[in-house]
Parts: sequence; structure tokens; C-alpha cells
Amino acid sequence: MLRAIARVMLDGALPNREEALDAAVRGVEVAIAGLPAAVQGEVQQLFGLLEFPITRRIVAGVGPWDRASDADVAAFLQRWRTSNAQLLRSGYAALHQLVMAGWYGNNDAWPRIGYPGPPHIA
Amino acid sequence: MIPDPIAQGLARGWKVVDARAAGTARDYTADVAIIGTGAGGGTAAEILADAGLRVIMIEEGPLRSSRDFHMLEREAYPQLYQESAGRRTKDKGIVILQGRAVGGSTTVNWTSSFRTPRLTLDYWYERYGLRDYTPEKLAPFFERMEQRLSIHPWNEAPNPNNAALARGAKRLGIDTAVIPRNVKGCYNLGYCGMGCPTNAKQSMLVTTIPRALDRGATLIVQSRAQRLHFDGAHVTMLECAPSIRVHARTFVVAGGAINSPALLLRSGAPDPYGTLGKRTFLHPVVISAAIMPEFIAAYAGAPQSIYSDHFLYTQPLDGPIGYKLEVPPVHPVLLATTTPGFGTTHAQLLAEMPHLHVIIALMRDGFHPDSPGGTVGLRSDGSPLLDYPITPYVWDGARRALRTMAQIQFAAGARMVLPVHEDARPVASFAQAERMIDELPMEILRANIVSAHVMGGCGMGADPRTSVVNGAGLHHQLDNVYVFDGSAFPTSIGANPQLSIYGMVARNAAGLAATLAKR
Repeated sequence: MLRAIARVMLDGALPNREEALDAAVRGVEVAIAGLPAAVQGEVQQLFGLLEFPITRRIVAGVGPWDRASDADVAAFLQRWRTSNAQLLRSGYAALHQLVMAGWYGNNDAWPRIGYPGPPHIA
Repeated sequence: MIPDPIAQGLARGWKVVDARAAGTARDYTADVAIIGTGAGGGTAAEILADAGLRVIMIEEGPLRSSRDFHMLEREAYPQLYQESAGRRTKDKGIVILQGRAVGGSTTVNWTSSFRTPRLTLDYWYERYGLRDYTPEKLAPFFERMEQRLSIHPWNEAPNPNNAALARGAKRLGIDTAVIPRNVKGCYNLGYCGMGCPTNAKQSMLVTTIPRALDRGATLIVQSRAQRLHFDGAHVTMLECAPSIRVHARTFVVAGGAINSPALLLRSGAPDPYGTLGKRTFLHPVVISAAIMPEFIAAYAGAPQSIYSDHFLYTQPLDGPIGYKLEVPPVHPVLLATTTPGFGTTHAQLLAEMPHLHVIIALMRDGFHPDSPGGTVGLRSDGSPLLDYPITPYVWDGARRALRTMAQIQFAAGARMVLPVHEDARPVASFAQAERMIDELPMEILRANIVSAHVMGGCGMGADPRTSVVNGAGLHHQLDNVYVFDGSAFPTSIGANPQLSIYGMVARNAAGLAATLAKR
């Protein structure tokens, strides 16, 4: 699930898709592990909702994640991003925050955005 | 190799206890227990230890120092910030940056140091009866802390990100000025937000806390203050998690706004007028990004050196909400999580990073009936949660501020401007920007609202019906509990709050030391 979402969210940002995607997903997992219990619980709830087949179809409107096309995933993200329901927008915001932090914290993300990394201190 | 004052102090035999380590003692006794080691707790620790009192500091976060500060967001945010720098309000509408380490937010702030504005103090005097909070009476305490922390206007050239704010504002006839910073021998790197790797930033971590430890104070880290135990109006003991008990004559609550009121709430502290946790303020921030023709590299150089108070002081304090203009540092994670959209649109914007110039507008909340701030409550597990509904009064300010920032950015020569809002797109002229901003729906999780300044929740005042503590910081209903941090402010400050906290606490900690000396 996370992989399918990260692939679409980071479209155009990943240098070498599969390897970079691994790094992004690992980054998200590390980010979640660092959250306090109450917030982790909320993230688990969101992920549960997106992984459980019935709720996945209802709230996200996509089929199984391993078979969902990039276009389907993009449509789902776009619906949540611009939804009139605050709860769906907050779900999108959580996914956005986790995936973006998970990827852009990696040194491998930096060459594409012209960030040289931290300076060397003499 | 940069000398690490923390490593040196530990080698000298500082009493630092890691609550999570095996074999740690479980009971501690002191004259004063200080909960939290940020701007408030750090300042109080030094003053009280200097007065010869036995001080214990309790800190929820870890003890990290320059040798740990590698200027990497992926390390700094989870280690040094509350909720990995992703703390949000109850409805998720506002992201809050708050420190969580020895030194609190002073370890990770961007060093801007302003005295409390006169207008703010006048308001406190009139509305909250704080007769000792005049600029004249506070001046000696501000001076003392300015000297202690080497606070002085930045005397090198501003980095291009700050220079663009100055240039754009000047072309529009808007005044800007140079920001005073608490630095000594600054390398001008730009990584203040990830912990200063050179110890140039005069945070609590490298100034007051080492001094208190040298005077024999004890520091307990990785220990969350869980609950105060009462005997009538007197607190006898602080219970922490993992299980540690601190017995003291006096308790100083300095966990920062959100955590301080939450501790009092968890403890069931008296709250006869329902003021506890109320009136919590954020300086809600809206953001405007611009693509400039020149190289900006907003990740490098002193992050904040230029500001404008034009939109705070050209209109009445209790009129439409005013805002302070500053710029933020721009690093990959902060930028990527803040930039709206996803996929190729997002990636294309990020690819402009070297040319990105960003302005932020910090709105001065709490001075108008339509700006009552937020309320700190508790989740079922006892952890704090801030409910901060954004009122139409604040949204009106957000829209005006987005307009102002776009105008300044085009005046500074921007090729494109993007108000940071999910429904906005980059535009090439101020006329287009204005039309777009007028139409943007001002709703949470569409407009991107952030905060790095949490204030209030245990507000000071002369009248117990409208405040939690008195002007000395003493709790109205408890005889040995003081609140010495930004949570004691009755409104927002209207400027980056660290020096306001230092000044207030320098005053009130000296008062407490005198009171304890008499007993």
C-alpha cells in the first residue's frame, strides 16, 4: 500500500524507481516508529482503513494495492486532497507528510533538487 | 574538532541521570524541581542554582550536544522535536514545531531575539493588571539576558533569502530591520533548526544549564513529568515516567505551552474558573514561496536576519489581525512536507529549491474577542492535544498576509509566486496572484498553517477569574507551584518569544530565589 502511494506521490522525484522507492518506504517506516504512541495509533488506523478491502473500496475507491494503476492511486490522492470532508483531507495530509519526509530526508533525494547537503565544518 | 561543552561537563562529573538507564535511583529531593529545560526552565535553573538552592531539572527529551548535531533533518526532527516535528492541532489543521530535548526549543530555534513589544505589555497592564510588566521595569531583566546570551543585531550581510525580503519591502516603502540573534562566533551555516553544530547559538543547552550543573544541580533526562501530588494547596511530589519521584519544596512548571497546562490538567490541579489550558496562542503562520532569478540557497546562512513589523504597527492592536514578516530556512524535508500537491507538480517545484525564496507571516493572535486562541486538553492516554479552531478573523489575516507576501516577492524580482495553499498554483504577476488569493478557500488542510511559537494556557494575571498564575508566576490556588515559561503569557507576543520568556523568567526566578531565602 505504502509503496503504491509513495510511487505516485514521488513521481518525478525518484532517480532510480525501485531502489529509491525502497528507501522512501523505509524512511516512512522509520518516521512512524519515531512518533509518540497516540499518533502512531492514528497512523495505524489510517493504514488499516486503506488496507482492509471493504473500507479501501469505500473510502479510497481503489482495488487491491498491488494491482492498482498509478492513475487510480493518483485519482484517490487527488480526491482526498481536495475533498470537502476535513477527515479525508487530514488523511491525505498525513500520507503526504510521511512520504515526503521519508524520501527527502535521504541523501539520494538531494541531487535532483540542487541541495548540496550539509556543509563541511573545518 | 569543535569542543563539546556537554561532553566536557559530563567528564567533570555533572549529575545527569538517564531515567531509562538500568540502576537509576528512583527518589530525588531538592529545594526546587524544574520541569522542562527550555527558555524558561534553563533560565530559572541558572538563577536558582546561583542563589545556592538545590535544583533538579526534569526533561522529557534526550541530552544531545554539538557532537550529535550533524545538520541532518532525518536525525534532528525525531530526536529534538515534539512528535518528530509533526505535532498537529486536534483537527490536524496546524503543524506545530516545538523542541523536545535538553534546552527545549532553544536548542532548535532560529535564534531571533526580540524584547516583548511595548503594545503587548500595555495590553497586559490594562487587561490583566500586570502592573510590573512595563518596558521600563522589565528593561534590566532583558538587558541581563541579552548580555548573558550575547544577543545583538546580526552584523553580517543577510543571506539572499533575507535580502530578498528587505529588497522587496523597500521597493514598496515597507520598513524592515535587522534581527537580534543569540549567537557568539556564529559560522553562518544555516542549520540552527537541527541543533547548532558549533555551539555558537547561545541556547540554554550551552549557557544556563551547564552553569546550573556546575553549581551542583541535577538533570534527569528522558523522563516525562506525569503528575503532581497534592497535600491541600501544596504540592509534595512529582511523579515521572519511567517511574521516578521528585520531592521538593517548590515546583517550577516550564514544559512549554501545551505541555505545562497538560501537566496541571493530568494532575487535577485546582481550576475554579476554568482558565487552565485556555487562551493558548500560536502566531499562526502562512507561507509564500517565490522562484527568484538569482541563486538564493535559503538552506545556507543565518536563517533569520531581516524582519518587518509594518503590518503590526500601522493598524490598531485590537483591529484586524496584524502580522510580522520574516523568512524561514529552507531544507529538503521541511520544504517537501510544506509544498502543496504531489507527483510531478510537486517534484518540479522542489527542483527549483536553489532559487526558492520564502516569506512567512506570523499572525498576532489573542488581542481581539474573535481571536480567543485554543484549548489544551488530554487524550485518553493523558498526552496533550491542542484544539485551535481558526476563526474567520484569523483567516482574514491569512488572506491579507498572502497578498502582502506575494506583492513583496514580485517587488523583489520574483519570476513566479506560489501562496502555500493546496488550491493555489504558481503565478507570474501580482495581478494574477491577487485574483487567485481573493478566491482561495480559507479552510484548514487547504491553506497550509504552521506554528513555531506556542504561548499561553497558564496565563498570568492579577484576577484569578481570568488567569492561572499571578504576575510572579505563582499559581493562584497552589502555594508552591510556579509557571515559568511561555505558557504564562496572557496573549501571544507579536514577536518570536524566546527573549520574552528569558526576561519574564529572569525576573520571576529572582523573585522566587528571594522568597525562598526568607523562609
